Amino acid sequence: MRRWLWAAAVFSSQMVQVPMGSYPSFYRPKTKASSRLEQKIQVEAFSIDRTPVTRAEFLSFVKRHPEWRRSRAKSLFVDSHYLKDWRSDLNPGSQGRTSPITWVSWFAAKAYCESKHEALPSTDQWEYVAFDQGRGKKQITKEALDWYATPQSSKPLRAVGRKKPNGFGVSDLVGLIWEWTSDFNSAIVDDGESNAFCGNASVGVVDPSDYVGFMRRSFRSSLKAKYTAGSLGFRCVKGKP
Amino acid sequence: MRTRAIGNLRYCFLIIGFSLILLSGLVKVAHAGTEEENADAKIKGEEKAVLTHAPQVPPPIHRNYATKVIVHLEVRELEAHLASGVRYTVWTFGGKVPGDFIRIREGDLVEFHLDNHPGNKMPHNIDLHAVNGPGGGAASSLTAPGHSSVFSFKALNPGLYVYHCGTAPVAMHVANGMYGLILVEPKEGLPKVDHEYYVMQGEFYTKGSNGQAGLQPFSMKKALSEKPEYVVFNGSTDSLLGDAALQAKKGETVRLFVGNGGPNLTSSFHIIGEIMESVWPDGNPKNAQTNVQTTSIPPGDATIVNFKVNVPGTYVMVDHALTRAFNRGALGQLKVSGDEDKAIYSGKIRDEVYLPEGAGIRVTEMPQRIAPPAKNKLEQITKGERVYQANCMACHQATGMGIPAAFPPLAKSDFLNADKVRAIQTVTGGKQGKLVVNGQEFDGVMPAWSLSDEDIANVLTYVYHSWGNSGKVVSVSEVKAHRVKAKADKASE
Repeated sequence: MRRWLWAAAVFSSQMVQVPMGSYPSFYRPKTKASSRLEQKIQVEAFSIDRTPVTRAEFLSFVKRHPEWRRSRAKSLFVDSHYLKDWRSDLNPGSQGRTSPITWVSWFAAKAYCESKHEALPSTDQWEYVAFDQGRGKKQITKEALDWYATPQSSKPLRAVGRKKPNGFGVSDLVGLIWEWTSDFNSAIVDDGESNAFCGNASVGVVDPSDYVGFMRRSFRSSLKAKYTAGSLGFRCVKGKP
Repeated sequence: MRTRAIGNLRYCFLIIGFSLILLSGLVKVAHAGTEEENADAKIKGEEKAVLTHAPQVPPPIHRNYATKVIVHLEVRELEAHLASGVRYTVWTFGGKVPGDFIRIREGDLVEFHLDNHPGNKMPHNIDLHAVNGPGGGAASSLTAPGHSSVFSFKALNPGLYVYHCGTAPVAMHVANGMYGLILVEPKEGLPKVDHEYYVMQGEFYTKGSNGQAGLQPFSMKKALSEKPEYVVFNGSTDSLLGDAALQAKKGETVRLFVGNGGPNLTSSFHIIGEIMESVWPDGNPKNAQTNVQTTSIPPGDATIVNFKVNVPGTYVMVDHALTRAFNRGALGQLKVSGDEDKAIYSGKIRDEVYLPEGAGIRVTEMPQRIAPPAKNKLEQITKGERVYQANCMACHQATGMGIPAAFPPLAKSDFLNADKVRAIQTVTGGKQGKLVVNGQEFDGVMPAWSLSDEDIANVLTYVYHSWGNSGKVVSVSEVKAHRVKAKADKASE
């Protein structure tokens, strides 16, 4: 059943079709907080960018949408680091055109996807694709840990799509950048204060040894929608969230 | 008897002061304030905290009032030196492991800025054990790269406290070096000493085994099973060795602020050859213990250690869980200069032949050898390996790599391979003082070995045939010809 589902995945030029399916929840079901049983989260079929959005692609977006140029973007929607590694409004520099765009806020990423009648992936969609039906889990963890263990270089990031895609045909989910999701901050408790610190953070988590899972969630919780970072980019999806 | 420098008058008054509080419950003294008093302390003025890298400690506070202290602590993720030839990506508070030392006074209002450098990949926060409030600050300080979190707290309880990152997965953030110390100095200050130093223990879980060169990634597997490759003071195996050793002069008083970042192992902190005259767990003089040999410091805890150095020499700080000191790097040195005082410590007076009562046989008359001598090179190597394991391996290690900054390597050693005669002389005569091996400087002592000519020929042949060494053969007659005769031997000749 599953086999023909993903055999049926159609590869468009930029987007990959992902069949409906499920992935194991990071958190235990709230109703049974003491239970170790993992909960499956169902995800509808959707399409997702094969690779993160590149600097060249973002350049053509800001050409068409001047309100997202560095000098014009409203401070309500971007922090002061927005596109900070660009030479000027329409010049991202000659290097790294095919590297992923970073230093972009959630608002800017969302506007980019919407300009193409697409959207940012939900956290569930993103995690479902990254979980990849459990294929290569060890390798994914290793690649992620190795990436986290390497200090950010001042050189341009690697071009997108250089590494082998996962079982869904999607590349660069780990080991290159962090990615925005539409509901990145849904894990945060009120007032930006979170109880997910210290040993406490493992309470209610299915697998407390899923360090890379913790890192993604910590990273997302540390963000606000106007924030940008040199290791934070995005890709878009089409279809129901 | 050693003199009590720390137990000075001021300290006695302190104890009396505390006793009065305990006895009467009414007497109000000028010393340590209660939580309520500190909460109500009037804040006068504002200053920027002086932060220092280990082993330095910011100067004592002489203010007699509470103030607003502004602390800017910057988080940096960077590659750092962990051991000779070994690098590791550390996550730091202030650019080094351990994090910057923060010194404030009880009653102070601290405005804390946690600055996460834009070049970092990770979000971070801070849990200061000196804080009364959710997460010790962690609830209010989760900070994305390129951002800064600000929160404030009042220092209600004097003492020495650990701070650390509390971001999930917390064990990994701490294992990568995210810990440091904050001293909340009591109102009356601490008794004056000649030197204050900052020492903090922590473990590293590297993928490669101890000594494996290159940039080592974090091993989640070893962290989960609490089996570190390195247990170190101040972030690397050699941070307090050789030229970087702590310094003092004979007769001076020394105070160590000793913390344990962990994340997992309890430190059995010990200074070889130095009794700790007073130890204040959690930095609180009320907890004072006296004449302590080894003090237990759990992860997430800190202790103040006070002592006077009476005898010149090198004192080695260790985690007395000894394989950590011997094999994993938990070594630091305190060098004490000055004239010897033979009345306190004589040094070795003489070396004598020991005759156990009723033994009846002089050691020198023991039958020399039961096993037949080695017939060829292969036998020499096999026998030599056993001699090595019994006598040499403890220092030079099974790998022949030695211990960086403590025991020189034999593997591919330029000193060893250059000269066979010198090797014989070194084993038979011992070696002391400065020595450069493969570009690394050592300053230690190797004793003269009272092994038989054959054992020495065999062990050297084994060493020359191991770990990529030059493959020389050392014969019994060569050892006979070149061995250094010990003084005792000469006397008995």
